[in-house]
Amino acid sequence: MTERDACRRVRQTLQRLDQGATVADSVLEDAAAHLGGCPDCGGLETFETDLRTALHEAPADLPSAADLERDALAIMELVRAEPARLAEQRAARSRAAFGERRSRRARGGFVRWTGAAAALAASLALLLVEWREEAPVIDRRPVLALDDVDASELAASDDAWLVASYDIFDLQASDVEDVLRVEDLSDDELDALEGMFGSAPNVS
Amino acid sequence: MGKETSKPGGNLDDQDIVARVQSGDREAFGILVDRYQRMVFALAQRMTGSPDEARDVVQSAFLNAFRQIGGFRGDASFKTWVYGIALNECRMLYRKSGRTVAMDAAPEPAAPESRGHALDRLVLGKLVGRLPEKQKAALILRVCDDLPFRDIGEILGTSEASAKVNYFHAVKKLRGWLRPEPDEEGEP
Repeated sequence: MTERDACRRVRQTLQRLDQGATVADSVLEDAAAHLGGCPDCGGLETFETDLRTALHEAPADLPSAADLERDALAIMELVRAEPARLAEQRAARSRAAFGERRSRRARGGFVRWTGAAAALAASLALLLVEWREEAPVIDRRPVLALDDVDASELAASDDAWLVASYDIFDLQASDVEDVLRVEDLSDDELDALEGMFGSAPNVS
Repeated sequence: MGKETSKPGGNLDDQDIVARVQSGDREAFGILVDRYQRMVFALAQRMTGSPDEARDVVQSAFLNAFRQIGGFRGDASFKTWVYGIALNECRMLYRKSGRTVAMDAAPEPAAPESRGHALDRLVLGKLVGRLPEKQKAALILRVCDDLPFRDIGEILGTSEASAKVNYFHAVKKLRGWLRPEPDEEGEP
């Protein structure tokens, strides 16, 4: 960027400031640095010195000592008239702090009682649930298991059981040292067996 | 930090005095008034251009400072703080009176600059009065109070960079009004 470009850029920045635009700090820093050093845009040192001389505080600019003292007394009169407000503010702050402490205690008590009530309610609710839960609970698992059995399988299992009943006899007979032969059973014994198993096929 | 040995409460730091006032010692506030009344008046007079208005500003500024002193935390110096209050009072005075300053107000014809480069204070005062508020405040605080740009930024409620630019802009404008800049073709 040439020196002229920098000068033009600073001029544009100053124009934007005059128009009330917001300018980034970084741009302002660059502009300030340029203005302080550029002989064309700045060169302000000599002028600043003259400016200070012309503008700097001079005795004629200020009121007399008497006027200043009178003004100071007037200010302090107003300040002394303010203490009621100051005291009121302090009192209000103290009241606010006291009230806050009271409400904090009240809130604390309220919180405690609320918490106790909630705990009691929760305990009662738990007890109620447990009491209901203590009622005999039917173990539905076997029942549920039965539901899942196929009816045909169930029927088949009955027949198998029936058939197995004979096998049982045979097996039972075979488990027994003394083989129980049907021929050796009395009629009464046979009748009893038939009564147990219903009509039986011819057993030989 | 605001120690004054030749004034009432001389060895007391401003912060100590403020602490006393905050704890209820209203008479201690008188020490602060004594210390800064002239400076605040000078600032107010340069901002308003009127001694009577400047006295009103001084009274309002110190009274408001007393009312707000409970909130003064010492982040800035008391002087910087009360200057900011005074500038606010100047701004409110301006608005109440309906006065406005155009951003690029045309200057009155300036008296010719003497060979010794001395600037006519009266003319300069009028020209300064035509500057936009922030530029005028930055110029006065820098030239008359020798405040650093950081403090000027705090008083104006702007950044340090903004305070610098406002200052240089003000100086550049004044110089332009007093000495028109040469055009690109050469000397005027």
